[in-house]
Amino acid sequence: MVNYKIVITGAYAAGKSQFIRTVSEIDVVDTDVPVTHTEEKELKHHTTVGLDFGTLTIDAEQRLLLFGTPGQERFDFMWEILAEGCLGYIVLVDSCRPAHFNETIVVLERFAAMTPVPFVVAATKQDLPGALPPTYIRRRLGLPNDIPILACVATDYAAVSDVISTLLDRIDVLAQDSSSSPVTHKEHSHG
Amino acid sequence: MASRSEQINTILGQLVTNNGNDINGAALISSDGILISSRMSADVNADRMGAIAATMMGVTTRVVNDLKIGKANEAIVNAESGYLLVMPVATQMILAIILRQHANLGMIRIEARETGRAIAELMSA
Ligand SMILES: Nc1nc2c(ncn2[C@@H]2O[C@H](COP(=O)(O)OP(=O)(O)OP(=O)(O)O)[C@@H](O)[C@H]2O)c(=O)[nH]1
Ligand SMILES: [Mg+2]
Repeated sequence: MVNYKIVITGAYAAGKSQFIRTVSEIDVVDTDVPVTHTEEKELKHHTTVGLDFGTLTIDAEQRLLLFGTPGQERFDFMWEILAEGCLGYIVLVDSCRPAHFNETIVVLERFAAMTPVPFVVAATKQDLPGALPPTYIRRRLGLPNDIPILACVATDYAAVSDVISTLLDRIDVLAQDSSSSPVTHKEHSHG
Repeated sequence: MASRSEQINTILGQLVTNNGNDINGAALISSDGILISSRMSADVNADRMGAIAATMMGVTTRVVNDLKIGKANEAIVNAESGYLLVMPVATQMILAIILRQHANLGMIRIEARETGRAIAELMSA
């Protein structure tokens, strides 16, 4: 069994923990604690302070290890710890909260500086009223046209697996493009 | 000749069986959180264990760097009915050991270091 590490990141309350919970076949590791920060509590009552972790089997030989990060920038050291050795990452952005787009830009910039691996963006909460369209969010985030941004509902299995497949396709394509340079991606075999 | 992963499994197995009264399970994990080998009791999900132990080691490394107290030798969690010990071994690997309540922590720390050395030797062979 070959394990591939994928990181799920994004700003506060974007749906990272939910995204992993929706597809994981093991009970997820969750490190959510009650929110005490007044402003942050307006959005929700629990927040990730360590990591989320779940697994998703692709076929008999391959499995994804999904690592979710905390969202607030004060936990940015966890972004670094969790990004180590990942093959690709997914940046979630809450489609209903344009006020969080700037924080999302920070996440995008920091990850790009940390690791050159492929990534995709998923605009979550598309099922909620007031969700902004991905094309608009793309513009607001200043995302280059070659980076996919997908409409997503993090509670929906099909939507989440679609985002993950898009990332996996990109990882394959980019790996082929750079076949002249040595492969830096790590593969770990199990057991 | 046993493969390297079989040899690692043997080393972990020795650590666990030699200290059966004290050790509940042991795992070798890459520093990015992927399980390399484990001797865990069935009630522990080894993949989850790998992700958690690597995060703990990552946070520990971060803490000692910020405090400027040198490099981390180990981190120990002392819980109501047991301990978790994590330590960096070889290059970019972590040894995680779950200890039972009332385990001889001093002894196990020495054993863990020896196990770490054995793994490092194997990896550089
Ligand atoms: N309806 C709907 N609810 C969602 C969606 N994504 C997330 N949620 C809900 O929004 C809330 C916040 O989601 P979390 O998964 O905790 O967000 P997070 O990104 O992990 O948050 P932090 O770890 O605190 O940064 C939860 O109640 C989710 O169930 C979505 O696409 N649609
Ligand atoms: Mg979370």
